[in-house]
Amino acid sequence: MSKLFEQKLSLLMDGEITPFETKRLVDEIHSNSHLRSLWLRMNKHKAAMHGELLDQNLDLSKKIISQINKSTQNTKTLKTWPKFNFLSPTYMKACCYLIGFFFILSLPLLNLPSPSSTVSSKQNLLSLNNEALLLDLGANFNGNLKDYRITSSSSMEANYFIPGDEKSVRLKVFFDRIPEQEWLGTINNGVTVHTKSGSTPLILNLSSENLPNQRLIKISNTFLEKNK
Amino acid sequence: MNSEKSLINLVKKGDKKAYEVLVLQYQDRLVFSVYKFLKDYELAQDIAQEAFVKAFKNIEKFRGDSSFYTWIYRIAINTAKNFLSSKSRKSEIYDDEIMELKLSESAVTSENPENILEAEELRSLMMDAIQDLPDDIRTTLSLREFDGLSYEEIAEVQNCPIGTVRSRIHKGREILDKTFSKYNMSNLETNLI
Repeated sequence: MSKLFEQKLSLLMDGEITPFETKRLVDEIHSNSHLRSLWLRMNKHKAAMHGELLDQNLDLSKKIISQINKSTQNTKTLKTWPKFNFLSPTYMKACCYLIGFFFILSLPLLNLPSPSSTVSSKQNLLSLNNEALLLDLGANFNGNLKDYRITSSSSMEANYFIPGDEKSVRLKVFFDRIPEQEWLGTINNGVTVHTKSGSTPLILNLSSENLPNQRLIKISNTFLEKNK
Repeated sequence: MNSEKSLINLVKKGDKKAYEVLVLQYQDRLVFSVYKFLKDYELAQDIAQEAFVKAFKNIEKFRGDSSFYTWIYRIAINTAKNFLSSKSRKSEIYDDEIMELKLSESAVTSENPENILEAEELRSLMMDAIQDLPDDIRTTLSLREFDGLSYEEIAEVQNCPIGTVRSRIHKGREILDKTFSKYNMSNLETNLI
């Protein structure tokens, strides 16, 4: 019987065995240590024949399988749901957390102010209106809005392209609530003006790599004239 | 018949015993390939080990377009590359092109010839053993091992039944196993002395 299995190992090595026999042989290799070590040696001969054997005693299989077992155990632990006792303190605690979580999520819908989310709600409002505002501002100097980004809860930055001039303009927009030091710190060139959009006070900084300052001043004047 | 495909199918069903059979089959080749890149035998073993674990976890992604060895070789080399790049990043001199160059250089030359010498010694031992095999067995085994012919093709070339091919190859491997075991024993004794 053992001789037969030994011959089958040779066939397995050459891919000359049926799926059914493969399964049987796998089980046999696993349970029969003689067969297992013969399979190990046969593969070492093959590697040696091709000059690919560095260590005759190398066997990583135990380490590999134990590592796989460990990781599958971890995955199983993660996948297993705890059995809930609906009256247990753990369950009640989890429910409280969930209710609290959904309550916080529903705050914007209820229009209730949440102290921890002041900055993010401002940012949300800003992102809702920012594109319309930037398009409106760009219309003053025939600038096509290329892209924009929100730089803080009270400021954003946009790039425009002026088709006739083939030039580009960068516009930094600060809402009036931003402290002076903060917006001054982010401006290092261009022209800055205080203006309004509707009733919202704005600070605008215009800069460009290829437009002269004279032109930027002209553009900024359009913002000022609009508010007169 | 494709035994490897059957083994992979078993692994896909979660059969770790089948995977162990694959590990035993390819570990030496894989360690050797990684060693050629890294020139560090211990590290090559660690990388090969990691590659085998990764391959098991991702076995569902193996579609069988290439052989299992080709697939796991790619995993191992990528793991080795990631290791080298993280090492380079630590020393703040990471450069993709330089690393590729280093890898290809190391694939050709080895700075640690000790292991390569052993591999060469084992290879010549096996070649001598093959030369000593009876003619019919030697030819059959060579057609399989070095020319990669299937049993059916060998039977056609040698004009003999496929059963004869099977038994010749098995017999050849049995003889080689004896030679190899003798060499292993004498090596062990030398080390003990």
